[in-house]
Order: sequence, then C-alpha cells, then structure tokens
Amino acid sequence: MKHFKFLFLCLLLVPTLALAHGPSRQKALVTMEVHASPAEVWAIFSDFCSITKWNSMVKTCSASQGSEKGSVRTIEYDTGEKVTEKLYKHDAENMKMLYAMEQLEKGRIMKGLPIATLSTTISITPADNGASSLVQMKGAFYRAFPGPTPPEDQTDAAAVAAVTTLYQSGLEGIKAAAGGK
Amino acid sequence: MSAIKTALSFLVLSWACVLQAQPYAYITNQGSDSVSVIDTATNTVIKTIAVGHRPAGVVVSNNSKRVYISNPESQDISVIDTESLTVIKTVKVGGGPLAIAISPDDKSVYVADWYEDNVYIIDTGTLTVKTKINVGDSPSGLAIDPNGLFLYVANRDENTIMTIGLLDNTIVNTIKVGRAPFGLAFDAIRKELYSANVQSGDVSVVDLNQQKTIKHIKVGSFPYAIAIDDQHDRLFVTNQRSNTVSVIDLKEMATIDSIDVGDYPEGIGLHPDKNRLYVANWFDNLISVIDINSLEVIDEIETEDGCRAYGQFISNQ
Repeated sequence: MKHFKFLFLCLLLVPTLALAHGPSRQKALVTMEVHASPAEVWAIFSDFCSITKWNSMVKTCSASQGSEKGSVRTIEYDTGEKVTEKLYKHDAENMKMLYAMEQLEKGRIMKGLPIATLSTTISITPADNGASSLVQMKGAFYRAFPGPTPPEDQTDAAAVAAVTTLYQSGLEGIKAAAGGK
Repeated sequence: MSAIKTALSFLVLSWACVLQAQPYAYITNQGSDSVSVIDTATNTVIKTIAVGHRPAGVVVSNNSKRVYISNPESQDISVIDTESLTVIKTVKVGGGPLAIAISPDDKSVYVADWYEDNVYIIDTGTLTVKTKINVGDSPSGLAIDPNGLFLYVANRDENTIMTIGLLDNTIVNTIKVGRAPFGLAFDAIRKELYSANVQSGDVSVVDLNQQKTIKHIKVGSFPYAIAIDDQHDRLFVTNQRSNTVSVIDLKEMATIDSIDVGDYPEGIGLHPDKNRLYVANWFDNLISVIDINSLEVIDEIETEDGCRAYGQFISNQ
C-alpha cells in the first residue's frame, strides 16, 4: 500500500518535473463512399493541383512539376495560411497518392490547423463491383506546439480534429464533383 | 526441506522454460500506452502489458529475461520481467527517452534522451541511473558493438554519429553521415555501421576501421530502422513514407528490391531463426512478417494503436 501511495505521488509529480517534453505523432482517418466508378473518382483528384476544385478550404495552388513525383505545390488555405507540399507517390494503377507538407518553421502555428508536419495518403477502394468507390484520406502529423502544456486550441486532440475537418471537406468536395451521390 | 525447495524451484524453472520455448516479440504501441507480446511460434498476441505514456523504444536483454521500454511522454523506462510478463519497475529518465540499447553482458542499459541531448546509463542490477553523457543534437538511434567497448549514437539534428568509449564514457569520435540519421545497425562481420537517414532518404555506410562514411545508398522516403541479414549479406530498411522495406545487397552496395508492407513501417527485427523479419506498421496497427528468402509478406498480426517497436524487440529464446 505504501508503495502504491509512493507511485501515485510520483505520478502526480510528473507534470511539474517535466521540463523538456515533446509531442508524439498523431493520426487522422476519414473514409467516404462516392457513388461513381473508381476511374471517375481518380480523374477528379489525381491532378496534384486539382485540390482547389474539390476542397473548399484550399483557395489557390501552383505546382512546380505538375503531377510528377517530386513536384512541390504551394497552396493557400481559406485562412490565408500558405504551405508547400511535396508529391511522394502518384500511383495511377492503384489509384493512390501520397503527399506531405514540408515541415513548418519552428514556432509557426497556423490559424485553424495547429500542426507542424502532415503526410497525407488519398486512395480509392472499389465497391459494389466497381460501380462505387470508397475514398479514404489518412494523415500522419505532429502538433505544432512543442511544449508540454499547449493551449486548448493547440493540443494533440485539436490537431486531430483540424486534420479530420480538412479531410472531410476534401471528401465531400470529391463527392460533390462526382455528382453529389 | 531445502532439497524439496530446490526440486520445486527446478520444476518451476523448467516449466517457465517450456512456456518460453519460442522467442517472443515485444511491440510498443504508442497510441495505447501498451506492449503487445507476440508468440512467434504461432504469430499471435498472447498478452498486452500496460506501460508508461507513449511507449516507443524497446530492447530485450541478451539472456531474454527482461525487456526495457522507453516512454518519451512519461519520461521513464518500464522494466518488464519476461517470466511473469509484468512491469516490475519504472525508472525515471531525462526529458524524452527514445532509443534504447543494452550491453552484451546485460549489465547496462543505454537510453538516448532526444530533448536533453544525453545518453543515460542505467545499472540493471539496481535499476537506477548510473550516469549520463552529453552527446549531439537530438540523439535518436543507438548501436553497441558486441564486445561492449563502444556505443554509437545517431545525432539526428546534426547529421552525425558519435562513438562513445564505454570504458570511461567519453566521446572518442564524431562521423558525418546523411541528413537526419535515425535507426542504426552494427555489422560485426563487415565491421561497418549503418544509419537510416530520414531526410536524405538513404543509408550511410560507415567503415569502422577508417572511422568514416564510405557510401550513401538510396532507399525509399523517410527511412527509419535497419535489420541485418548476414546469411545473404543484406540490409532491410523500413521506409515510413513509401510504406515499403528496401532490400540492400551489401556486396553491390545497392538497393536491389523493395517489399510492400503496411502504412508507416518503423521498427524491424530479424527473428533468431534468421528466416523471418517482423515489421511494425505504425499507421495500420499491424505487424508484417516477411520471409527472408522469398521476400514475401507471409503473415500479419494486429496490435493495439500505433505500433512502433523501435529497437531490438525480439527475444533470443
């Protein structure tokens, strides 16, 4: 019992003893069914800069080398925040893309998107014998706030919520572009 | 009476040995603050052990009796007894313990703290911190030579590997490698050290006789950890953003193949039977088992959230 009490005391002391402390990587995952063939859906988002047409949270986009692997696009969110993202995978055969935001400068915290890194995979799984598509966006990212006690709008949970909202907006846009079904 | 006691403890001991007839894989699950214990004979999870906050690093002692888990966000090490499969002690260490390694005689555990830029040395007898050594910026990977004379530290944010002499715990050399070195592997046969460089997407080959980098081998994007296959003279490297494992031929010093695994592969370990590799896919909460001869994924095992298994995570027996 004494030991338990001691352990409990140690647990209580941990946050105050933590001088240097860093976040760990977080995940977000959103899947949506779009009632259109995988080829039709792929045509909607496969161009690296088509994002302005299917995600209303992204206002502008320009890419260095189109949709070639290694192409870097600069996008501007509706908040006015600008970031660059690099295309790591553009796999037409498996209808899959992977791109990642270049790590933000230390100390920068974006409005409405409190993350420092973000790699996104967007992919299609055929459903209903190829008549329909399951579109999935998944992301791995770190929150931007480096210390142990982030303000409420910059926590891991806030970062997960913000990336989830971004992906939902994207998938809804893809669905709308495919006819809204 | 004492004869009975001896006989009894012998029985218990042999029973314990039977229970541990096959090597176990100890998988850190960063999202769920736990370790999944996989019996590699059946490739099933036989137990899940609660550990500290956001566990990442792992090392199994050479005698397979203990497992040490690093918990960066509770800033401690969970010590697991492999017979009872329970945490027997938690040792406070630094500000962000991540990479972890053990001396060949199992007497010292080395922990890289990547926030305070130290390597801590834990005495495994007393389970207390013995000393610390200040190293380079963001130490992220550790490797030890089989003689226990040198410890190698990958300093991620200064693109170097430091050699620490373990007789007097001093830094004896600093070697330039690729950008953002993370996982290290020590090759006792070739007398080489390898680092997976996250930012430059390659593996640096360090010749230990010359004490310098002799080659950079391109792999996938965001390489993380390395396993050595000395039967085929190959390296296997997990690539977090390619979702692959690169196969490097050490005679050709080139990447010769790539194996598709799950999303965000991180920890990789060679089974003691030298026929299988275990890979932890962080995003998918999934272990991929690769046949080392056919280079095919032959099995998958589900874990809890965010498996990482960064370090020497498979027991010898």
